[in-house]
Amino acid sequence: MIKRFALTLLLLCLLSIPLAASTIGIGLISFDVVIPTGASPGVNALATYDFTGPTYGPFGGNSYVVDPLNFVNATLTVYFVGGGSMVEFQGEIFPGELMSGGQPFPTFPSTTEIASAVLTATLSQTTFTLSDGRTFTASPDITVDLAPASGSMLAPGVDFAAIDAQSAGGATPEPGPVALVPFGILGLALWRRR
Amino acid sequence: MRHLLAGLAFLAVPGGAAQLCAQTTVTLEGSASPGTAEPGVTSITLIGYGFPSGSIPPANVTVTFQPKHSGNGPRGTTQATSIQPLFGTTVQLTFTVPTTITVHQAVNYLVSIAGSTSTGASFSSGNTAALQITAAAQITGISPNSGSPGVSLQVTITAANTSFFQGATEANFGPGISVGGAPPGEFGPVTVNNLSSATAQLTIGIPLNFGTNPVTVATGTEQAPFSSGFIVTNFSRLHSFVGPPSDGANPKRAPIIGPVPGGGSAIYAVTPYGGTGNFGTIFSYPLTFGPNISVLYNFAGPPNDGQTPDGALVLASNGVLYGTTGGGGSHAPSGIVYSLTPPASPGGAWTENVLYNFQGGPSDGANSYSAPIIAGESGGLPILYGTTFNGGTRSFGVAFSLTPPANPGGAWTESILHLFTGAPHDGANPHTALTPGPGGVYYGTTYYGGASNNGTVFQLTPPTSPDGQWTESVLYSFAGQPTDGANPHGDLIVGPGGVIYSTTLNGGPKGFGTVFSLTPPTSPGGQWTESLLYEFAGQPDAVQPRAGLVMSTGPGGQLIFYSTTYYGGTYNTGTVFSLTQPASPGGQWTETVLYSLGNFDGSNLEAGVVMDSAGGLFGATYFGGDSGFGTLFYVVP
Repeated sequence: MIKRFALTLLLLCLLSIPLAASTIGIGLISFDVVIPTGASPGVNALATYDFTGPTYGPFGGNSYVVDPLNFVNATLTVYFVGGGSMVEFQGEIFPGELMSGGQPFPTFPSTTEIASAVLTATLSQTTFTLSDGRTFTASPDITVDLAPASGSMLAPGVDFAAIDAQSAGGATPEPGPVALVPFGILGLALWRRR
Repeated sequence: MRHLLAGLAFLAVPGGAAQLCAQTTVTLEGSASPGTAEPGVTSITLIGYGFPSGSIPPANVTVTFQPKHSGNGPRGTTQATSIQPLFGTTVQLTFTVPTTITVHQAVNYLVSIAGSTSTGASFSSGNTAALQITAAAQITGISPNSGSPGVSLQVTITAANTSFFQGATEANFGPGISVGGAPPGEFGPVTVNNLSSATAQLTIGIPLNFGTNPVTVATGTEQAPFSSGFIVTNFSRLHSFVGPPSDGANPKRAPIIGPVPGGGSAIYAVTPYGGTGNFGTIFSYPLTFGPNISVLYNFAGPPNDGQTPDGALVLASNGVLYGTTGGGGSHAPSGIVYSLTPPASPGGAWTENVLYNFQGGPSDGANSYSAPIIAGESGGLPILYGTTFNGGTRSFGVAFSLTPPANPGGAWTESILHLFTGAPHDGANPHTALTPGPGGVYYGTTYYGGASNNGTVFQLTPPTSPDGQWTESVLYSFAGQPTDGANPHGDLIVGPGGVIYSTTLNGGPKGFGTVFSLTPPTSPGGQWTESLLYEFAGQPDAVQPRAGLVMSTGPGGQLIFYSTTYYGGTYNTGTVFSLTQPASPGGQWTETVLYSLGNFDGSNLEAGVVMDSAGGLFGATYFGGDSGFGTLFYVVP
């Protein structure tokens, strides 16, 4: 009887644990080579993607945002080695490539030394559905800092950063897979008692 | 139970689980990035998800290209160049379209992938990504498509299938041409207007191989050639004279090349008109081919200065320029002999001094239209010899010498070497400078006089004793049209074997002038032999040479002469021509019009040319140009 009570208590505790994940991947900024350096300097790009919605969401990872989100009032600021910065994009980014939103990727001569790039935007909606059925409530503002993995400037073809939505801190009304584990344990216990 | 154990054993083998699994299907993003690619150039990115776990060597991934519509282009494959895991099962891979896929216009392709992880887990894409493959980048036009040496110009480049990008795109216009300030012959920056248009600032250097230069515009590994090339013409207008009061006007005599105070070289020449009082100028133009022409001196006119400097300059070893004027002076309009001394420090003012005022009348010359020559030195100053067109007993001109003073500040001393007496036994009115010959003699020409009054070639022989007289003798009297030249107007030159060469303004079969040679006698006291090397034929050929010849040597050792004509050529407004010695004795000399000047270039050439160390020719036109006051030009044979 005492064991049964303890198992029931454990089950209730597990069910009350909020979802462990506090971020969800919704996009990508990648510093890519478009035309390699040859007789003249080449061309690099800050490829930017919105991985949300049924079409593009799966590119964001195993658990992705099913609802299509727009990155509203997006600003991509590039900081150059030696000082100085420039806003390379301002506008709205739609699901898919930044290119598909009607704007080309910000591109640069390969001689341009970029120290970092920062994307700021506001999500078009803050509560959305994930591919595993959960509902995610996010902070409306997103900020991504693309910094060099090594050295003092971005390396084309190497450096990239995920665009994540941050959890607003709320509980998850729908149980996650981990929350189902206690049911399994309970089932095993009952099976052994037989 | 045995089967279960066998299965567990299989799973225990590394990679065995993967090999047991069926091939994984990955999903690609619908379009490659960028969406348009040039084979062998553009680096393409594809993102896909559903990849099996584990590292994926790029060499393990094959990218397949097939035209969206069969038959529009060849199929092809390549290997990925990099694989970048992103999040979860999502991977970013890059590749370049193989150059084996050649299309003549943009063709839509579908891209798929297949490969395996390092542990052998295979995968392939269940969908395709769109990619447009373009034809090879090429330049379709350059405007303007030609330029002149020594000038800077802006050209617009138009192209097809290019990815011009500001800061990355650079152009190469071939040897000797600087693009955007880069060293000549190297790639230099351009201003990009859009993906297929750019503007290039060119500076065409000297010397160059004239004709068609190869052009390539590069953006990274993208190289767009221009099959038609960029044409470098052999003529360049360097300056268009503005006339008085700020500039010279109507140059009539060939420039000379001399040093610039402080370093470098420049051409120096006179204009008979223009300048502050329209009395003529002396100007310089640096051989750096920049835009700056400098008026070194404005003649002030009579009574204290000369006017209408009609004779060319001569440069003494002390760096001082010497010349004559056709008018002005204290006995105007008889003219003067002057010197122009360079400044003590760079940038300072040049100083003119009147060395001698011609008196005119029966005992002195007047109106010199030719340069004095330097016949020696006295006290570090040159002894000058020259001619005047007028003056003397019958106003047929004189040959004179001018000796510097024994003491600084003293007067120069003029001596008359010969008073011309005119036809039929003597020449009259020398228009050219004296030319030194062997044994201390000097040669010259007269515009008139001689047996037929068509002009002469004469010789001045120095006296045999210190107090003796110079002796003048007529070496040849021109017979005139149609069998001979008439009216020599250009300075003589002495070539190999002591042969004299020059031009006549008139004469020849059609009266369009000639180029002649005068061969010395084989024995002392014999006759000189004249030959017409070329008789000008009339437009479109050159017409009426008014200047002497510049002598050069061709690759086979043959003589090549260069000069100008007042008329003729394509526009009948003058030419620069060459005359090449035949390969074997007795052959025909070959005349070539190197350039026909139009009004923009400048027209009607009185002046001859001077050759620089690169083999190019500087010259000036009497009329034409923007203001009609003539131009300064450079032409390369």
